[in-house]
Amino acid sequence: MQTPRRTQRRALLRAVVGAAVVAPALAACDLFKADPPPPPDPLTEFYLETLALAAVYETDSRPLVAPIRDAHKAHAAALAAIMYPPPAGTSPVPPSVKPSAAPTTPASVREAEQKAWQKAVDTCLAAPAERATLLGEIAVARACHLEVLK
Amino acid sequence: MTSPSPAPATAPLSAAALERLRAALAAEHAAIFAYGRLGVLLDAKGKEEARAAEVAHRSRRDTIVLQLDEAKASPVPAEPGYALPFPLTDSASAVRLAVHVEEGVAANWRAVLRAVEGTWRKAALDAYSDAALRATRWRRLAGLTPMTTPFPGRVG
Repeated sequence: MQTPRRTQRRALLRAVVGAAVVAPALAACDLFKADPPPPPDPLTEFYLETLALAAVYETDSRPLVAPIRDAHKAHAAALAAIMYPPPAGTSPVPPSVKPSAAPTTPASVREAEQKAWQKAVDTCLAAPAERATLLGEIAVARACHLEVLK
Repeated sequence: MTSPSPAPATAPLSAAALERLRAALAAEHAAIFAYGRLGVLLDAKGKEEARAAEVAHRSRRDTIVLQLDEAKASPVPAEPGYALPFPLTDSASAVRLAVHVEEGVAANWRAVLRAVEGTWRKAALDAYSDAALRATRWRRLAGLTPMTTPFPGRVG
């Protein structure tokens, strides 16, 4: 015949051991469940637009635009370096930022640069402190490009 | 590209922001001094550009002095004189100094960006942009290529 004290101990052991058996099973669920992918970096659209802007210059053979095209590529690389998740493997360039297949003209290049400059200014002013310098550099570089393209 | 913004009325400035704004003001003082020396060596077109640049720097200096004063931060005064980085002997060295000055001013305003926000950041970005644009115009005047750099004002 079991004493009440022994019954209590057995119930306690059952509860503890039982929990120990169930717990790994539950943990295993978490162990193998894939984490949801992180949301795209807030600069993703700006980054894609920067790539598209560089592409605008690919068909412009004027010698003065080569440094500008290279600057846009350098900006894209610098943006990629601070983005999380990194932009490689992100969604393809949306149609809204793809360069036009139409041949570029000095006027269309300048218009693209003007829009990009305003976007960079707005993005810099709204950016967190740690991103403000790079975005400011990009905005100011684009302002200088407009001066060169005059 | 822009005129100096009116005095901003946002959150109090951090110690880092005040330090960087004072450095930017010191750069404006030095730029005014330099334009006073280099202008006489330039041709008519250069003189016109130098006069416009000096006016812009004076205006920016006055604005930032008032802004710092309103923020209860003591504005740094101008030095009686500044050592030039190389001798001024002719038009070419004068243009080179103008490029040097504007790049220095741009670098100082660039450094302000991350320390401030709101209207202060807008004012800093405008000042940074104006200096970099003047550097570009001076490079064009001097026939220097490339006329721009990917990261204006970045040192090293």
